[in-house]
Amino acid sequence: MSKVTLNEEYFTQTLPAPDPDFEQQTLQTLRQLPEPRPERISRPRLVLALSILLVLLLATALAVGITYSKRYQAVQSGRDAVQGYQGIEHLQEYALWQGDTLTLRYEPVMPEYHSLGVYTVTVRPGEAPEVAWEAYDPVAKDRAMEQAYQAIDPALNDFYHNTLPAEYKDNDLTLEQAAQRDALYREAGFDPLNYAAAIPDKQDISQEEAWAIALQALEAEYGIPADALENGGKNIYFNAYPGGQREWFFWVFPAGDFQDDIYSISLDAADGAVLYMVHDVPGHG
Amino acid sequence: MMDKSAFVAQTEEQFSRLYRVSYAILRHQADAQDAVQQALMKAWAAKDRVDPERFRAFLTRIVINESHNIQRYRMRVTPKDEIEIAAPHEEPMNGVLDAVHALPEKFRTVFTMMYIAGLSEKEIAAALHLPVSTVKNRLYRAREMLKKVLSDEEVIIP
Repeated sequence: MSKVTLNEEYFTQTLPAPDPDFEQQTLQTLRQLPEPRPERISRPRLVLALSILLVLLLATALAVGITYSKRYQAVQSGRDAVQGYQGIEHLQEYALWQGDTLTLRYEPVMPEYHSLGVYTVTVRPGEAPEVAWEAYDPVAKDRAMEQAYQAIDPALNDFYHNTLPAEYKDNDLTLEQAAQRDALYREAGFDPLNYAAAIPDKQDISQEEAWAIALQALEAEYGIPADALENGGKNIYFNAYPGGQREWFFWVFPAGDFQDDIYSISLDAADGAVLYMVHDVPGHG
Repeated sequence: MMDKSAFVAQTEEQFSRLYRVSYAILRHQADAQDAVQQALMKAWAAKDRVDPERFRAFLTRIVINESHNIQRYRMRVTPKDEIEIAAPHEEPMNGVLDAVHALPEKFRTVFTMMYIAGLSEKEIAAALHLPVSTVKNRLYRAREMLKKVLSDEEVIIP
């Protein structure tokens, strides 16, 4: 087997190019956008700009016959449900599909929308859309992100250059060090969903208990012998999320016959319940 | 300050690369398109505050962040009995991309920025607001993890 060198050229040849229609539609939409105001953007103007972009994108998609018609209807019903729920207009939107089920997620895009939180709409075929809401602090987003990065720079530099040992390996941070680092991010206003490392307390199951459960769950789900899991590598994380969810999370690199596989497993730190598992293996679509 | 024509010109020049970066993370055409569009909207809103010389790295960072947001949310909302569709891949990929995809996020980010987006260590450090030494360490760890899951006979990771 000939060797390949991993570099930009390799990935350019390997990864698909964007659909030309999608590229042209997106660029055309950008050309038609009004210049953003240099000063603080008022909510009506922002909503108007987002709405125009959304309409343009949908209109162009439909105009060239992209096969999104069923999806479009589901998305539209989800959007209607959100508007009916709180009377809000379109904000930042994620549209995620799992089979025939659509999940729409709307999160604030500007600091002045803090209080709106995140709206999640689930649209299942033949059922009324379900709308949920959760509090969310998007201070690290968009405009505030630049300020947040500037604010945290001195603390991060101090952490990496003074707090940690000189020869640390970033992937080998202890739970305490990871918690300390993520606390710096959270204090600077970064999203606590993304910087959730914490230290387990007495109410949480121990790391040993969590790993024992993970071994059983991975063996039961995927048939991997415990010794292959024990003898391989793993990365250990403990996270505490807004709302109280605390989890043990393991990346697992089994040994032996399973060395090409990579698994991750998330456990509820309160009782060890499996929250989710993911199996990645070369060649699986 | 970057005017519209310069923004569109730079975006057009970077478009394919940005899409490939997102696709490498999400491996799903519609999701990658969503991520690129959302990232461009954010970049558009922030274009006047970005140093034009750092625009390429800035765009890459936003695309990666958006892609990770979509990926993270896709995993988070997937209950255990739907694990089979937790990471919807549209088409079979080769082992290299699977291995990159399976890297922990912080390592995948720097690897993607260097090896797929073609940014330098210095550009990555500036875009992520990390010390260059941290970027070097993360790249080292990413390469080590990839070598662990990829046979040395198949790939060279410079």
